[in-house]
Amino acid sequence: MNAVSPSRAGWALVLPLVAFIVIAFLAPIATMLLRSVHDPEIADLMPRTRQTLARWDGIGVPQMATEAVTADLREASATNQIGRLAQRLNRERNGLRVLIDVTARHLEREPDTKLSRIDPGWSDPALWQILARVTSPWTGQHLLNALDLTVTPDGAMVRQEEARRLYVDLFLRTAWVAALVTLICALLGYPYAYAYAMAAAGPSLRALLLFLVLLPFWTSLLVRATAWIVLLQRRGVINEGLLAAGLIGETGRLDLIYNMTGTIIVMVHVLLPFFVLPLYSVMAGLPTSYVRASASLGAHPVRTFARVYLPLTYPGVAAGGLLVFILSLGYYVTPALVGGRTGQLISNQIAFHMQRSLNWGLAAALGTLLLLAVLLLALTLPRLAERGGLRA
Amino acid sequence: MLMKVTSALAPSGNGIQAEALVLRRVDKTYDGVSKVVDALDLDVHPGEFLTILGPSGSGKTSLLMMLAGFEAPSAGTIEIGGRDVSRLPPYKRNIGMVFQHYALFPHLTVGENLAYPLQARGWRKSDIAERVDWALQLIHLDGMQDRRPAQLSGGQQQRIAVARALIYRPQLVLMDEPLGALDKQLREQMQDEIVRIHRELRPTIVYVTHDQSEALSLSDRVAVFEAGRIAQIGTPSELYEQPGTAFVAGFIGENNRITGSVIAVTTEFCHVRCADGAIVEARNIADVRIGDRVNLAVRPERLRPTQAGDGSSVEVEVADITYLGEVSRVRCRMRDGTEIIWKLPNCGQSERPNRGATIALGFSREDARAFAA
Repeated sequence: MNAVSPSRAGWALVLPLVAFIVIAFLAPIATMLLRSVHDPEIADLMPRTRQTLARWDGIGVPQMATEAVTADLREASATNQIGRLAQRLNRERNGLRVLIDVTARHLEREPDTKLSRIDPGWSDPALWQILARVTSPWTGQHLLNALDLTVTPDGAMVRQEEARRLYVDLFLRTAWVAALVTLICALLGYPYAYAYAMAAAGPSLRALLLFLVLLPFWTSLLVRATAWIVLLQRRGVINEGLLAAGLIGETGRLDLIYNMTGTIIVMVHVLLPFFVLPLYSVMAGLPTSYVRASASLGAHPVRTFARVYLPLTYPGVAAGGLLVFILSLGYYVTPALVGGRTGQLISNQIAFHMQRSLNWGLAAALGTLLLLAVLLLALTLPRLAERGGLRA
Repeated sequence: MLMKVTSALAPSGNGIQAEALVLRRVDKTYDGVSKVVDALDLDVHPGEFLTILGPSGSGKTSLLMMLAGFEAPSAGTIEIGGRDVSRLPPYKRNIGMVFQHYALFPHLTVGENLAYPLQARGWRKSDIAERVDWALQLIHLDGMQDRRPAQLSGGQQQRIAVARALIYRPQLVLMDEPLGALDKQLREQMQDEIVRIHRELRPTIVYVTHDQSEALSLSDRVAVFEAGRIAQIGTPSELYEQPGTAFVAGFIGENNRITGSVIAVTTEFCHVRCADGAIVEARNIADVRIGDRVNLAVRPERLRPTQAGDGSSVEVEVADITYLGEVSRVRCRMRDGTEIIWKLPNCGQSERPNRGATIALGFSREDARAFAA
């Protein structure tokens, strides 16, 4: 055998794609997942403290660690890293930036001063708890934050104080918006796909319907958002039209954009094709003989639709619905453009932590939770649908 | 149980029995020019099993679609049970239909499939349950009502499709090549099953097929379709024994075709000089005249070996013999190249000819039919 075996040739052909997926997709995701629980920044800046506190029993103030902290702070000052360390620690507890700055400057002048003399803050056992936690490169803190949970000094897991609870509500709101968008897509998309599937007779009508459903795909996201802004804003086409028709007064202009309403309207518009196309493919693949059989058996078209056509197209509804729901969960651009302050979703919060607050660990934790939720849905929903007998 | 079956299905006793199906000058055209169904007249009697037989493209499917109401006739009228249904939608026609690929609803159980037409007719729940049980007994599938169609074999599915089309005793049952999707053995079993059900319940059935053996074995009458018209309609034996056109002769069963020209005509018979010069006598059924070119049709099993020049006979060379058990199929060639098939019954002692031998094959003048070429 001097010929290359077909399977090996096949592998060689898919290799570039596999490499691309690994480099551009799997590796970044793995890095992100890792970052949500792995944060070596402080550990690298305070190596001695980390070593000492790893052996600490967690009670009181660990006298043995004060020297390690002193040494680490002096080294950080010497290498100009103290600002970074102070900022990073401040994220764990407000006020730590000042404590670190003050202590470091004091140590530059008098290297051998005891920490507790420099600032009484160093006598607080809670501070050492925090230090012990953040100097470990492995942390569950970001995941806890992402779930609005926190650990008390005595190690119990409790909910954040009310004012700091952000993310669970946001996750729930995102899921609710995704469900609503999916429902609206189903209500608008099912008749549309049906009309499209039934338009077999007129090829030009069929082409028009396909064109209309694909139009959003071919238009730039920005152009679409701008078009919606023109339509929906307070002095936009719709409000002016309603005003002219006398349906609303000058004070009754509708807030249709830069809020959740705007987010939902534009998301439905963008995601509708993802519902219509899988549903259409199921409808087109459905043999006409079922509908004909029903008619021949004496069933009125309404009964035929409710008892035969609709159940047989559920797989398409399930496929389209799942697609729209999952895409909605991660939607970012549209809420960012037209969502205003109240129309933001979880992805916008992730972007905020990536770009503004630079808390990548928290962004990664939020992303990880979102990814888990989506995976869970993608794996369980089709199976549930199958068990429900929706697969024809 | 059988008693219950017959009493449940006794024909309604209103005394007047209209024809089950009447077609008058029915046309169907899709492009306005060529007629797929052309000025069709057809009467089907109550309780009759009528088969529409024809090659694909002969218009038989278009006819069926018009009977069911999925297509509207371009002209003419269709009456079912004395009622003009030409413009009625399918669900108002009170017909039953069996499809080639069963068309059982895959998301419903067998019982729900059978109950479907009864629910559509607003039957009471208890009556529906009773009738579904009855239907399952009729097709010997008792206890299967909770299965899904996909869990059943093709033959079982088709039996349920038949039962579903019969369960509400429609005035007319249409069957669209219902056995086309089954393998040969199952097809024969299902033929027996359909014949049995037809004998028991006597529904009026219009059955569409392109399989002539199916048509012959099932039907009371067969209508042979050719290019949108009925070429001939009659009982299976009429069609086989007395084909009225060369097309029917060629389409139903096997027929040898010998070309020649007419040299003498009597009232019922004619003499024909074959292409190779032999002179034979045949039935003149197409009113041919002297000098006309004709095709003779002779069944392979009606040929017998004879002496050259003795009665109607042709001289052939044996090309090939296939042993088939009850018969041997002998492929011969006339001198001008015309192929002749001869079916030689296997009676034990009959001597079979040798390949390459020249023999004479004779036939009685009753068994040869002359059609205008």
